[in-house]
Amino acid sequence: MDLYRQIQSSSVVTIDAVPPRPDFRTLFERELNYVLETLRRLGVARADVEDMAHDVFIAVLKQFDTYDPSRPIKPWLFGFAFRVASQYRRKARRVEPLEAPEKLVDAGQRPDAQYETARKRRMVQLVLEEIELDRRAVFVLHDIDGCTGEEIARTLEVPLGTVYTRLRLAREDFSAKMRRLQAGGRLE
Amino acid sequence: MNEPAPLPDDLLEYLDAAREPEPVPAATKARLFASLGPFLPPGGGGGSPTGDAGGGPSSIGGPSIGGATAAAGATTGLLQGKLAVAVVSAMIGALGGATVHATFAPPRTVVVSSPVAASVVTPVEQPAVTAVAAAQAAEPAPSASVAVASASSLPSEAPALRKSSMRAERILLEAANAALMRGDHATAIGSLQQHARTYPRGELAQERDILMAQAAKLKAANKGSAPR
Repeated sequence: MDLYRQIQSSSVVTIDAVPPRPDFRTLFERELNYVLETLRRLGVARADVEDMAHDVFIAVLKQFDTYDPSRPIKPWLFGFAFRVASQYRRKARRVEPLEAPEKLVDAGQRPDAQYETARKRRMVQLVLEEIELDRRAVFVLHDIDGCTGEEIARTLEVPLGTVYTRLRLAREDFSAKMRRLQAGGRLE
Repeated sequence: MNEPAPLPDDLLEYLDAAREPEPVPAATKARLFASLGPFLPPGGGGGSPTGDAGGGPSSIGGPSIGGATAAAGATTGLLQGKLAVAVVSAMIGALGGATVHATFAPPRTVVVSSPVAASVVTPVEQPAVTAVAAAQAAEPAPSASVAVASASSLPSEAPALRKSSMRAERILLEAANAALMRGDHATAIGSLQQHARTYPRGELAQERDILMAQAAKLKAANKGSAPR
């Protein structure tokens, strides 16, 4: 019986350590929002974001068997989104006009709070668009998505030192441009 | 290796706001999953968000859709003597190219203060094809279907929706075209019927009819050559 309990408890530990691989539909349902947001943060115009998300998920589908469920999914998805967004930016010569105000659909907040959240989101988006893409990718992964430096280094295939250098420069850029925007100035 | 100094607290509030998730409309989710249908393995990777199985022919080899794929299809078609199928491939490619052009053409790079409607792709004139009903009646409808919101029901999302619909239409027709090239009339007719159900008045309806006629011919030829 003791042996049986030991086997039982050890198998529980194993299951907890490696979560089961989600099927593609589950992953799509769960992570679509993240992919769309990430593409926007990486500079894909709102009108094109759905098409680019299509390309991301096609690439994900092709590489789905290589996904290691013991690792966090977001940096893995970010890698696909980053490549798609980089290609998009090379091809696109679009200068997007100022966007329409974002939809205020969150029912949990008072209207003024909703407005304030939407305004801040919009300002972050504006500032992000002014930051060079490699720095921006590190900044988004670290300061918005909450990934560690090691995860970012693995995702972007750069040394850890490069990650921290880009993060430092991105934070400096972000602070300077946000202060300018707060002061009512224009971003160049 | 040390992390750099953090952002000031007041700026962190902005990042908190940026982390607030923006809900994805169900129609967008369904449309996107439907557009992945032809790329999903049999079984649809778990079904579509609308509850239908999203499975479809997985014969398209990669994400390259539009002009290049269709042009390649056209070349193969000419080599095999299937001129009509090749013409349809070229038309699909041309429409794909026009969509890309509409997206990235220089006039759209100008910053404007008011929204500019996306340029309209003029439908290519095609001879009317009537030999479609027979094939549709003879072939049982596949159980899988794709639910895609119609463009007219969401006017505020019209340009993006129209472009995605075009892409999804093109994918279905390319899958049918690829099946025809392989001589697989059942898969071709299945894809075309799926297109007919999802986009009865789609941009590529005429191309669908032409391919359907080709599929009907192929089906008849396959029946004639089958051992008795």
